[in-house]
Amino acid sequence: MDRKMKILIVDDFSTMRRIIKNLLKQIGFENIEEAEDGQHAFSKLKNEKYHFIVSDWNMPNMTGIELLQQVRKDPELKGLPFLMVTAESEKDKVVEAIKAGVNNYIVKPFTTEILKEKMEKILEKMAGNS
Amino acid sequence: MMMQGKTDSRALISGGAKDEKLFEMEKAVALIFNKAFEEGSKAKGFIEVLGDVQALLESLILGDIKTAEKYLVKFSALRGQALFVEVGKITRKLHNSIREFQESISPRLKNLPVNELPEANDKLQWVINRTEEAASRTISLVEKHLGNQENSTQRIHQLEGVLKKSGLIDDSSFKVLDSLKAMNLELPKDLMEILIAQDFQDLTGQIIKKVIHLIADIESQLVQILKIFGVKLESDSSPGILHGPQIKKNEQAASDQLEVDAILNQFGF
Repeated sequence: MDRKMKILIVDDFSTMRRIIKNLLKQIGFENIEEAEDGQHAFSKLKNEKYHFIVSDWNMPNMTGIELLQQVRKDPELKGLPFLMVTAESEKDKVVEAIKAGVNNYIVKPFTTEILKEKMEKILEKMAGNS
Repeated sequence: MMMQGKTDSRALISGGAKDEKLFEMEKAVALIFNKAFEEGSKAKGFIEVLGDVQALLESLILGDIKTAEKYLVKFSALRGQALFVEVGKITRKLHNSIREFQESISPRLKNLPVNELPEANDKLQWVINRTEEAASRTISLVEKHLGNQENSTQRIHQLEGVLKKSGLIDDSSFKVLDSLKAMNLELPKDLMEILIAQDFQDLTGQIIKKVIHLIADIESQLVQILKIFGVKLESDSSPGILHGPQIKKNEQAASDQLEVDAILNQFGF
């Protein structure tokens, strides 16, 4: 994994943003930024170059699934790896996210190992495809 | 109604106005009429209607269509009047029910959308904020000690190097150093556990937010129902309710220990 890649964490709960940030640091990533909802995240994504998105689903203003749809529609952003980290564990939600183009899906609560495993899977798959 | 009566009566006449069925009907009506009249029925309207029915049948038997139509129009008017009376009765019943409903609503229910439901939402939001603060404090401490642990690892290695160089190190010193290293290695694992455990704030917070939305929905729908029934909303601050932790600045409440101490001082504690 490229430890220098820039990651955007999107979650309306600051606690969760800090937890994920620390877990990512523990895995070895240092270049991490945060956004409190999909709307803020999208404007950040349009203004700066990011390599990976870790996003919650349930957020005000713009939800995670809406952000994912926006990203996939945007010609400049459509290829960005998108990891959904959410408490939404219903099957139809997972299917909805897959159909919208999510790269992987983690159900809260989760562990460092799961986060690491899912991120590795996404990046390996992307390296294989390119 | 009039057109329908006209068509019916003509159909009846064209089908044989003076046939036996009409005579039989006329006889039957006459019998009922006489019986009611002899018994001196108090239902004047009933006798009058029976008389009209009898007259209608007679006019049909005689082929007097004009007279028959006159009675049919009269019956239509009677039917309309009856419907009007029924609508009036239903309206009265509805009015009475609404009044009974208004009177039966307890002051508590009238107070719910004004004070209690918005307060409940404020309290739940307060819980979210407090748990967020607590989780944030815990995470800050975890971050601090994760940083310290990295420093400790370097210091232990430095110390080991110095001791080895000085030749002062022996078996017991090695054991102490090893146990320090082991403890130091264990620390980040536990700190990460503490960190991840703070996800309770996000998970419980999401559920509380859903409950807040639900309460807001109930509140607006309750207001709608009460408005439809013309119920005046009431504000009630009943004594005897324990309000618990202060979630808003209230002039009657002390917000922190310093203020509580000031009050205690005033009373000589």
